[in-house]
Amino acid sequence: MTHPSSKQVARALLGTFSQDEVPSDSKERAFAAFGVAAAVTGISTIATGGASGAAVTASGPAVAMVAKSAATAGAFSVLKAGIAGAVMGVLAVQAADRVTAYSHDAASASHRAATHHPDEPTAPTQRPRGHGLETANPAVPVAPPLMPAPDLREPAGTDPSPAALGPAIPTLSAPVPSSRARSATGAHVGTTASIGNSAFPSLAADEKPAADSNAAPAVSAVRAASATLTGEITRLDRSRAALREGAPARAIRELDGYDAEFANGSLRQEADVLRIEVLVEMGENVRAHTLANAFAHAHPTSGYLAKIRELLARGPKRTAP
Amino acid sequence: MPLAKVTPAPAPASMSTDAESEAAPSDSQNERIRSLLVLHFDFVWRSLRRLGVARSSVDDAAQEVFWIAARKLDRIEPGSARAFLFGIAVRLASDVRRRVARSRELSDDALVEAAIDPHADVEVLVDQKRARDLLDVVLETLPLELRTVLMLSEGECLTMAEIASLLGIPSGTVASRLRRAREAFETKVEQLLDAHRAKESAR
Repeated sequence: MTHPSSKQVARALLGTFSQDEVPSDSKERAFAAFGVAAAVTGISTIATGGASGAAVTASGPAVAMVAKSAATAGAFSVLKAGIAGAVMGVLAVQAADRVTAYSHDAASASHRAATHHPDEPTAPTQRPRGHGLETANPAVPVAPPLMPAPDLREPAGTDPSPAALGPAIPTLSAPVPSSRARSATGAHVGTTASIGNSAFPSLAADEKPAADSNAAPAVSAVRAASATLTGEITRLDRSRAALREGAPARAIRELDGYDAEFANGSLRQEADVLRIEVLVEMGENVRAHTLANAFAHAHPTSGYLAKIRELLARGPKRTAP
Repeated sequence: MPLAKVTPAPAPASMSTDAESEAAPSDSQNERIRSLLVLHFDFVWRSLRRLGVARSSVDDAAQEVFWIAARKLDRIEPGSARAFLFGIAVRLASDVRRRVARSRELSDDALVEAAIDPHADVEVLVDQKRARDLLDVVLETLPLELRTVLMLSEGECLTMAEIASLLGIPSGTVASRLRRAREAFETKVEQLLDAHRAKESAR
């Protein structure tokens, strides 16, 4: 076995900075000490994708397996080969750590994405956006990370060049479409289907089951969906307003409220994009990139990817309080 | 635990001389400190850890930072909260480390042995933890100003401009410190590796 260079080891060691995740109980204790509501402490797990190693869902098994085997290799090399092995172990574990971190976040986002899956019987009438595009096709390509982790470490690495970011993706000219969404809420599912934006093709096929079913339940389901959507929009609007007013903490709280209230929300992607925007404003680059990569993994064809790239490249517009 | 509320002692001398702390905080002050907590707790906690505060002490130190900040709210300029909190964290971290260093005299070598002992647990997480411990060992050898820029760049992925703004120093200074930090870090890693390879081959 050849010894890794000190440069490699140095890099691997620096990579272990990523282990410094704030334990949720530390955070809860601190927040409790200052009288912050417990709900707010959900930020960490939502924004960073959580620390549990068990999160492996449909879209991330390959990644997770790579992580596992690399990690195991690291452990074995530590056992077998003394210091040289330990050093290699450090390297392997470091590699695994990165991949694992990515798979956690991807898993977290894909878990959310799964709530939108057409096969899920839970909320067929709550899918107003065009994101069935990717979930309807099981063979959909997985987008590469928006910003590969190593690039983030270089100051010049925030190059937002589209070539580095996967296939051409339709560009959204507007951010979260709150005003358009608001105008659509009062009507019915057919109308809410246009909430996303006109760049997406109609989802007529997805809406058919609701239209074909028994009339009375359909109407009440439509009303319920409509009411839910109004609530979702209100939450996101409040969060967006808070961000505009330079109060990102409040924006995050509203988003946490959204997550708690609308776990299977129709505006999940909008909420995720908004959270990324807030994190960027907070200067939480690592979390913002992590969430962005998870988003790209879960929604490889989302029209929001262009906006996310723009957010990451742009950096904070205004400073946090 | 109301630890720091009654024991503001670890605060640097320059920060603990205020009398304003006794006044009951207003609602808006409470709201402000909660906002700071929500926005910056993670950053402060990670920074303290990366500035060398032991795992067992980070929680207390992080709360301490915010208790100190709570008494200084009126001094926090708009847009500079993060830098303000980071300043407190840096001072608190060096204070905590000074105290700990007096009670614990472990050589680099012993720590490295502990960190990369090949006969220790095989659990991956433990291995990762050992690698992280080794990182601490190497960081300990860096001067504080180099350690600070290195951890902000490598740990927080901040750009040089962001680091410059956070520390209130010119970008050029950040760049040169970062370069020196990386060189010093690699040199130290090389020394440690050489020493241990020599030891291994002598066995």
